[in-house]
Amino acid sequence: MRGKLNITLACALALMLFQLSACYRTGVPEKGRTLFVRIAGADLPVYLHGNDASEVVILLLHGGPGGNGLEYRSGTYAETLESNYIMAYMDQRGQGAARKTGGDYEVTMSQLIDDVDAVVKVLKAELGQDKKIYLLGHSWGGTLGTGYLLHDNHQTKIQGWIEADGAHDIPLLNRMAIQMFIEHGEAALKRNEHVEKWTEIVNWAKSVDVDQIDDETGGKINSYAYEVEGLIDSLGKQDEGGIPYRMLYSPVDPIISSITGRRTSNKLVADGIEDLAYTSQLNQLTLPVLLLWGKYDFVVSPELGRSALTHLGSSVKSMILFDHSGHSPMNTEAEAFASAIVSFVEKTK
Amino acid sequence: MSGGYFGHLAVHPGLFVNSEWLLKQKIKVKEKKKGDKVIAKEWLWGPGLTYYHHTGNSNVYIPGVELIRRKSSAKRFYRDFALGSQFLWLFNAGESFRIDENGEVKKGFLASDAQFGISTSIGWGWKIQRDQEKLRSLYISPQVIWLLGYNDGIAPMVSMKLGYRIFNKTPI
Repeated sequence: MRGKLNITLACALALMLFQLSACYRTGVPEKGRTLFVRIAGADLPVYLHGNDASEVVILLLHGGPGGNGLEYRSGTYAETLESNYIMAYMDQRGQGAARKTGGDYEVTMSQLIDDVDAVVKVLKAELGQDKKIYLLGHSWGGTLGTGYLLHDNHQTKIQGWIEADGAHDIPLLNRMAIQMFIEHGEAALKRNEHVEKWTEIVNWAKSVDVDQIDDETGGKINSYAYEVEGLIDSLGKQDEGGIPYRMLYSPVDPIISSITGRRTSNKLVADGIEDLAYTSQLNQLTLPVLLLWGKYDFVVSPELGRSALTHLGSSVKSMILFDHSGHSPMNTEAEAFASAIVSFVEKTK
Repeated sequence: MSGGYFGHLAVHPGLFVNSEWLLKQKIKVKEKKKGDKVIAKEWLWGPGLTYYHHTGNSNVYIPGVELIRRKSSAKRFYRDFALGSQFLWLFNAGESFRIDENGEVKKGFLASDAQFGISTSIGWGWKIQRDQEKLRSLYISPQVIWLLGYNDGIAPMVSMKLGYRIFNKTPI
């Protein structure tokens, strides 16, 4: 019995020493670096990759809710951005590899905004106060990013806002999706394309009262919106170059992430995110803004981008529409997506 | 006593050691034309310690205890099922930071948190060196630890053990 115990303790000690050896680094080494930000009962991982010499850090806010930061670290666009800048892929609370660590844990929009602020502070403290931080929010990341920038004048800490197919006004998003289903669906039916599916979607869309969209209808809109992308023939092919996505070897456990992400999404819906509408406050944003949208994005209609362009208070603002993309232009028009961001950052940094 | 490779999702590497003590053994003899067939059914229990490293996620220590039901015969293969209780001590695999009450960023040292889980596993073993006093075997065992209270709910941690086992008492 004592012999077995000694072996066990020796193994534990050896492993502890191995663990300590991975603890302290500076800058962003070639193989990347992981920071954990402990805030309000959670540890939030932030994965740093890219050009250590750059003065620019792009903090990526992932979609979902229920996604994870490293899902976005793949393809040609990520390779281009990493060769130019430091990319910080964070996992939001309750998603990806973010873990609850304490009793004061709660999942609310307000807490997620505080989390982003804590990550920005840590990035500045660790990488240098002189670094220029840009936010890049995709889909739900567009909701969170807009919420963050509007709250407590956080925009003063950020050099520029890049919103890619961002859901900064969810009631408007739902109304526009219904309108797109009907317009594109009727046009497709005239051309005799995917008749059965489009008929189902158009009939359903016509039955929706756009002034009374509840959470269940919102979920159905989202589900149809992804399905519809498969019916559009002019979408570009999925990017297969650049950084490969290695799901099994990722720091994120895909099984746990999928289950807890769904749970977190439900909590945020219960917190009222389906009612978040920031359009009327966009005039308060004065930082440089780049809006990137897929023309065939049924999940978050390009109309949200056009509306944002009108309402933003920024003097430097522009919108780029990708003609062969749906909800994720970074995957279908990767090179154009990346060069739009590089061009924006170089002009505004 | 057993030990070997532990892989979270099979690929995030670690090591484990387990001990086993026999609680109860029932040996059944079935008469067959070709000769008697002897089947041993055992209840065992044992503590164990597992460590694994998940790059960019965590370094995890898992002390635990299992109750094992094992069925073996004179053939080379045996199988078992285990139900256990596991304590997971997770250290962040990276640097940790927090914001103090004055809004200053502070670096943490070996930041960790703990999870509790119920483990279930099935195992298949292949007996080797049957002629020696202590039976030795190789085995494979997929395991799921159901983490209770992970991000306010239950989450399954899937892993795989590939091990070498020395039996205290030869079942058959």
